[in-house]
Amino acid sequence: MEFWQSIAVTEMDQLIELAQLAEEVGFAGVSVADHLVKPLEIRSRYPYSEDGEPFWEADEPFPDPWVLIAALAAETSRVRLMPYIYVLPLREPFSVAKAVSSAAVLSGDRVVLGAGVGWMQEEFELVEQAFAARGRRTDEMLEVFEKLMSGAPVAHEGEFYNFDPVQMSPVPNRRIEVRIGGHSPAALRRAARHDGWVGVTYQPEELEEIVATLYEERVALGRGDQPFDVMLGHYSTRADADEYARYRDAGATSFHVPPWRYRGEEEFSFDQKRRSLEVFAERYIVPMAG
Amino acid sequence: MQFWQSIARTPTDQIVPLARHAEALGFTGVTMADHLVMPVTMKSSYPYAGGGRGATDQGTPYLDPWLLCAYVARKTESLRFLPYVYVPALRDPFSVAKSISTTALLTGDRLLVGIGVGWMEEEFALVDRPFAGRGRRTDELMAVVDELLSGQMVEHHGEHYDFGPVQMAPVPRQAPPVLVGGHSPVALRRAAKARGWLGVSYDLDAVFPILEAIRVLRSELGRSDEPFEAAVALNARPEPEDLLRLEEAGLTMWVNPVRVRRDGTPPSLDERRAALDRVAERLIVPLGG
Repeated sequence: MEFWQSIAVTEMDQLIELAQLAEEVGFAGVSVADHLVKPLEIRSRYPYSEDGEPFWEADEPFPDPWVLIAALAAETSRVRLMPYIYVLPLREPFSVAKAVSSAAVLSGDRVVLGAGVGWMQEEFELVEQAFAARGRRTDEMLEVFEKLMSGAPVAHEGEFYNFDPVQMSPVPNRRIEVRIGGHSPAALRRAARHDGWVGVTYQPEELEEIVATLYEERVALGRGDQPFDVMLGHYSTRADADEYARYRDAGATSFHVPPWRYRGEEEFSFDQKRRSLEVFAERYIVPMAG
Repeated sequence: MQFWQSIARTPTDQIVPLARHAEALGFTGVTMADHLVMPVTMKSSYPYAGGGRGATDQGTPYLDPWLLCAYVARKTESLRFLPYVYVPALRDPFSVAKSISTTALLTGDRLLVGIGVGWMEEEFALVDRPFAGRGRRTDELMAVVDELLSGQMVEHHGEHYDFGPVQMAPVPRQAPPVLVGGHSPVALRRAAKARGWLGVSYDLDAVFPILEAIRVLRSELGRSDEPFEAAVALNARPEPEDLLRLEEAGLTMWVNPVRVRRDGTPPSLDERRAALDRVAERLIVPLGG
């Protein structure tokens, strides 16, 4: 059972210390977010809020996830580092592979690629990447990604990408774990083809259904017995670990703890954040590990 | 005179010790390169023969320059960082601005941004961006980056980029200086409009006419009093007097290139450190750098 702490939309001058504290108190990983810019008007519906509106304001910080991960890698030694969630089809596969491979090399193989297909059409328009068929393109990007990560000369002929032999260097020693975000049927099928699924918040019964679907898909792919991570976002305010135990029994293997900014209206000072990490570890991480 | 050390193509495990060594010896900063992948067969020819031996061999390590800056910055105190050079036209302006702003913040404003228009046509084809017209596109792209780095709600309606109001966060208090690489007349003009020029490796005598051309361009642009950096590497090992003459002519940064052994193999960490020690002894100390 793993706990991950998000440091999304958090003050830039606190990120490093918070990641170090998270490592110290026993979190398995630290996650960061990904958005390029916020358009003044967003027509796209945000799929993870009830009213379809994004939670964040235009001036809230979204540093580049991989540059931030490189800095965090330099300042921590054990925690794993992952974007929650990196929007692959906003990019082309070469820049993605270069950033992720560099992060993996610099961190000593502590990087997880948390990837999704995105939802904000406006962002795709800004960077002139097609929004339509972004799921299929994501699949092909991941194929190209795996090829480039071999470090060998590789070529590719596909629907979206075609190239003669090229070689990327450096590449990490270990294969980079790919976990897929989103809870549409297509996202679950995609996740089953990789190393894990990353969700948001659910009732335990909903999670059971999702886990069953994921398992079916994996069995159909002949991957039913391979390791697979099921991560959901959950923030318990109870004084005991019961809630987390229920989700664990429903099939969760990792919990993603939301950033302070999304825990209601309250403002958190640095000291309050530190205290919250310590309390969280005492209440949940330690008991769940026992 | 500022002394800069190239850490391009350095094996990953040698980078931090080398950067720390450079910092301790009084080097101002380190430079690194930018390549996504190496094509196995390349029709484009590297235009800067001399400094480029081994630059385009497959398997030569090129870490992402921004990640490298952010990582090494956290392992050093005052060392500065300069991609030499990054090719914005391989990307979109939003990703470029995001990389620059995040790196500037995480290095504690120890970042300078070196850009070029690029020369490897194959790389442009891979990322599906046009090679032709990349100079003009780079100019507009960097103008957009400037707007985004203001941190304000901005819109842009230009030839290559056209978008309604968007806002980027976080941004550094001050955008890092942009220095421009290349020595074609158009590159020199682009540099003269920016905060500095980045040359490659030249014979000593070849540098003076370039610095003079830049001086004239900047004077024509009415920018003679603006802060300006000029950087080169030299084909032959310079004497202190050489650097003093260049400094008088407007050079502000001398770059110690990556050395490769005669057989083309990369030097060991000890050999690299010893090479830096010699630079410190022969140039940095005498020139009070």
